[in-house]
Amino acid sequence: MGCMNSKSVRKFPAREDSLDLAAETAFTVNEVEALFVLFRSISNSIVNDGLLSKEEFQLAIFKNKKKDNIFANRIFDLFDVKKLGVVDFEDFVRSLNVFHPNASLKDKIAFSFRLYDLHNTGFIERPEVKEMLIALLFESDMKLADDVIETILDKTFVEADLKQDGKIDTEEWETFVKRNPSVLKIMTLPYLRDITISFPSFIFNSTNVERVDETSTRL
Amino acid sequence: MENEKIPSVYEHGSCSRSAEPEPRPNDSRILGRKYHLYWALGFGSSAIVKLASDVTTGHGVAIKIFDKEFIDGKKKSVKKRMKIALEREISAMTMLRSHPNVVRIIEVMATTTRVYIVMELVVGGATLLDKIGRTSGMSETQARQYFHQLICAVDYCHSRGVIHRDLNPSNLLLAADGVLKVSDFGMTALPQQARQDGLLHSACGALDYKAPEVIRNRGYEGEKADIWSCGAILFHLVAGDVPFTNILQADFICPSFFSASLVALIRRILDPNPTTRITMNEIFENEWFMENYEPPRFYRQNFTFALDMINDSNLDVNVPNLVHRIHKSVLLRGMEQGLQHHQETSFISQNPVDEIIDGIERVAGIMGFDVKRINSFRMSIEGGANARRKGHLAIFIKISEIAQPFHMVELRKAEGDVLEFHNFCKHIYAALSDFIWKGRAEPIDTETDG
Repeated sequence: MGCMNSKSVRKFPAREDSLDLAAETAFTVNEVEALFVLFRSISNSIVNDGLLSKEEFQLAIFKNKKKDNIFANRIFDLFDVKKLGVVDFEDFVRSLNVFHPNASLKDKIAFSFRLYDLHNTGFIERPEVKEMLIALLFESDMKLADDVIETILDKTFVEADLKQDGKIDTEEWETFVKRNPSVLKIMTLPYLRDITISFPSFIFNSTNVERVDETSTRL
Repeated sequence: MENEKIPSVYEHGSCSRSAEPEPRPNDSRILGRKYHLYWALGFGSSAIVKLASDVTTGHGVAIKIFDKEFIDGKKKSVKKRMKIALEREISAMTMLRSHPNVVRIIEVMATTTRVYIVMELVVGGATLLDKIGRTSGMSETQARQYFHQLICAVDYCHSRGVIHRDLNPSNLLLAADGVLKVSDFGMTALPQQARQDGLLHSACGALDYKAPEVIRNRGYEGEKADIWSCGAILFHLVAGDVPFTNILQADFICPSFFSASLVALIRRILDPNPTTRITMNEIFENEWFMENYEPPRFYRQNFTFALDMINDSNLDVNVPNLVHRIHKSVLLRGMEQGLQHHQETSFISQNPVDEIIDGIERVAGIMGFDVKRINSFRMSIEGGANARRKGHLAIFIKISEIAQPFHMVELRKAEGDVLEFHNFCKHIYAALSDFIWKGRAEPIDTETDG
C-alpha cells in the first residue's frame, strides 16, 4: 500500500476537486465541502491519514468499533471502489451520492442489487442470500430454525426469481424492488439535504468562487 | 448600478423584514445556481439580510449575508470569537428548526468572500418593534398571544441548550397571520460594533431588555437573563414603553391599567435578583399566562414516511424486507445520532403482537397520551402530559413480523419535539424491558432533557 504514503493529509479540498465532484453528483460545491468536514472527522478517528478504513467506518456507524456487521461491511466494500481497503474522499462523495434524495432511482436499484450480490457474480444467488441472512441473524443473536430460514428463502425466490432459474438478475431485481418499495428506503438518507447546516464549519474554508452581488455596497 | 430598493435602516440591533418577492429579473442575481437575490430587507451590525427566491420552486427566502473580510480584518482574538459566534448561530438555528416560533434555517452557503445563511421568509414584513411603535400599547389579550409564542420558543431554546441573550422586539418577527418568530441567535457574542449609521449597538435600545446582571457584565445565568428580557418585552407590549428609566437600578412602576394578575407576573419576572426571579416552570403555572393558552404545533416532519409506514404491509416477509427491518434501526440510529435527527427507533420482541400493543398502550396511558389502535398491528399515540408546554407529540407505531416468534416494533415521530419523543421511547424501553430482545435491541441513548 505504497500509495497511502504518497497521499498527504489535505486541510481542505482544492477548488477544482470540489467543482469536479459537484459536477458529477447531486451535491453542490458547498455540500461537498461540508461532507469533507464529516469525512475528516470520521476518517481520522483511528488513524490520522485522511483515508477512511473499515474500522473507522464501523466506528462512525455504530459508535463501537468492536461490532461487526455484514451490511455495513458490504456498504464499505462498495464504497472502496479502488479495492485498496480504504476509501478516499472522492470515492466517499461519489458513493454517498447514491443515498442522496435526488439520486436517480436507477442508481439506487443498481447499488442495492450489488449489496446483495456478495460474491460479485452479477446475480443474487440463493447461497449468497442465505449467507447474508444467517450472518445477520447471528449478529442479532437471533436463532431461527433451519426450516424457517428455508421457508423465508423460498418465499423470497418465489417473489423475485421470475425466471425460476435459481438466481435473481438485475432485471428481476428491478421488478421485485418496484413491487416492494420498502426495500429501497435504506437507499435514501434525507438528512443529506441538511449537510451544510449539520457541518457548518466549512464556511470558513470554502473555495467556492461563485460571483454574486458585484454592485452591492460592501458591508 | 444601484437598482435595488433598500428599506429604512432600523436603529435597534439587527432586524429582518419580509415582503412577498416580486419578479424582478433585471435586479436579481443568481446565488449558487439556487436563489435569485433581490433587495435588502434589513441591516445588522455585521450582516445584511436580503430577499431572495428559490430558482426551482419560486418560494421566497431571506438570506443573511456576512462579508468574510469584515471578520478577517479583525485582530486574532476578535476574529476567533466572531467565527465561533457565526458557527454557533447556525448550529443553534439548526437545533431549533422544528419549532414554529423560531425562524427556520434552510441551508448555509459560502464563497471565498462571503457566508450566506438561507432562512425562511417571514411573510408580513414586520417586527414586534414595528408593531409596538405604532401603538400606545396593546390589549393584554393581544399581548398574551405574542407572549405565549415568545415563552414557548425561549423555553424550547433552553431545553436545547441554546441561550438567546439578545431578546428584544427588533429580533422578533411577525408573520402576516400573527405568528411570532424569534430570530438572530448569533449577534450577542459579537463585540459591540459601530453600525454604518455610526450608532453604537449598546446605545440603541437593546439594553432596555437586558437583565441587570448582564448590564453589570458579571457572570450570569443565561436562562434567567432571557426570562428577564421576555418580561421587559411583555411590559413594553402592554404599556407602550420600556419599563425602566434607570436600567441599573431596575426600578419600575406598572401603569394603573395593568390587571392585578399581570402586575403579579411582571413583578416575578422583572425581579433584579436572579435567584428569586420566576422560572420557566412557574411561568407555565402562572394564572395570567395560562389563560387561553394553546401549545405550539411543531412542524410535521417526514410525514410521507409516516404515511409510508401506514401503507407498509406488516406480513410481507422476505429476505430484503427482513434485512431492511433489522438493520434500519442500527444504521439510522448510528448515522443520524451525529446529525441530531433522531426521528425513529425500533426494537425486536419475541412477545405476541397483542401483548406488545397492550404493554405500549398501558405505558403511554400512564404518561398521559391518547392511544388509538389503528388495526391489529398499528397504533398512533398523541398528546402527552407535556403537550401543553412542549407541543403536540404524535407517534406512529407499527409491529411487523420478522419470522416467528420475532417481531419488529417501530416507533416513528410524525409531529412534535424530538426530545419529547426520546423521553417517550426511554419510558417504553424501561417499562417493557422484558419484552425487548436483548441481543439486538438497545435502549436509545437519549440526550438529557433540558
